Amino acid sequence: MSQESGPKGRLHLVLATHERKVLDLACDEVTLPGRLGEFGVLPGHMPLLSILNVGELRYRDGKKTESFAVSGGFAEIADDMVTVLAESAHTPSQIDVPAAQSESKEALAELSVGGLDEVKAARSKLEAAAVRLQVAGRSSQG
Amino acid sequence: MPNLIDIRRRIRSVKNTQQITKAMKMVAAAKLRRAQDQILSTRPYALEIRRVIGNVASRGEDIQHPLLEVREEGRDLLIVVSGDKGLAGSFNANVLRRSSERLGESEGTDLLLLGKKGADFFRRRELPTRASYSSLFSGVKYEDAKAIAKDIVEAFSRREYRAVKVVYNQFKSMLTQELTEEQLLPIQPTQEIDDGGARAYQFEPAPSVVLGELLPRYVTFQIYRILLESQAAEHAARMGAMDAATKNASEMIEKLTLQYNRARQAAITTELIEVVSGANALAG
Repeated sequence: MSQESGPKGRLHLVLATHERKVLDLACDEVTLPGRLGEFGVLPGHMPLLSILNVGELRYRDGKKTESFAVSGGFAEIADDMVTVLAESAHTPSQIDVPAAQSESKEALAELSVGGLDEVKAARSKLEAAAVRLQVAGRSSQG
Repeated sequence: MPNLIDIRRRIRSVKNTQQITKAMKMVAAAKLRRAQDQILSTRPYALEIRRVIGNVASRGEDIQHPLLEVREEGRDLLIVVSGDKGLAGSFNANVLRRSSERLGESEGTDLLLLGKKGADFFRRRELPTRASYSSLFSGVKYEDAKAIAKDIVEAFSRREYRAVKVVYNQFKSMLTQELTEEQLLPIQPTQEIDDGGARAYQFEPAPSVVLGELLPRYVTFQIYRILLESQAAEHAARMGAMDAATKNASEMIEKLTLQYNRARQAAITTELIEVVSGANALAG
């Protein structure tokens, strides 16, 4: 379980999807795309249960920062243990940029036609694609 | 005395069947391994989501959500998880028998059929069926579970049903499958509470909103898990059945070969007697 939180407490991050455990490691800081806005988690955070938006999860271990595109998830934070359950989680290298680009174009086209349900679906599709592109872009810069 | 050529023909046909059953056994074994891996890889998620929901639910009585609502009246929904194919021993028969029993016990039950065998079986009986899905089991996908769960969750939230139950084969080991009945809805929080104990959480956004997102996701995951269990159980059952069939074929071949040799010997003996008595007649 979580590490003993000594003077230099660290966070333990677990990221799992229904298909596999993606991450299980210790780190210094986690940034999560909460429903009410992005928030950071440091050791000693209060217990929190938050729904996550489609967005970018970042964690910092020393000076190294890694990003994931996550969707359809929620996070539980308790005792310096951050548990993120998501429907999908991709590292920058796993993201198919052309596919995400064409998906976002498709979604844009769908936005202009159809009823309320279609627009909703298209919007979430666009969001997902945009986040994947953003995360993918991060790796090429770094 | 059976004809030699007939026996030889039968041996050949049994051998052909044996080759098929042997191949099916091997295919089932390979698929079983994959299905097992799929189950194993859902474990971390399963543990965590159960713990989180248990934590939330144990926070007190004030939590209300349509999916937790215990109702007195209304119809029931029975989800029957069978396979798409036969030749898997008692895999399909067990599920179908138990479901038929349940249907006989209570009136006012609708069916939701997953798998072609169940759909075929109940179509003939013309029972009230909400929906039937087939060809789920050539590789269980999360999207399928999502679609099924969405339908059920919406129907239950509209108060169409009092309870939703599932009958399926649970994968226990390579050799055993266990026929299992579970209540899917309303979700029974007491079931899910682990020793984790209650924690004073901050919710973001409000608890009711968090629960509103968490619970449907939990139902989806449950259906996904049940599909995976059934998939693995089906492959295990088929493996067992085909193994038994292969063994039976071997026994049969042995028996027929014995018969064949006896018949051959008898034929030779007859021929010898004929030759000898012919020679004797000439000599005499």
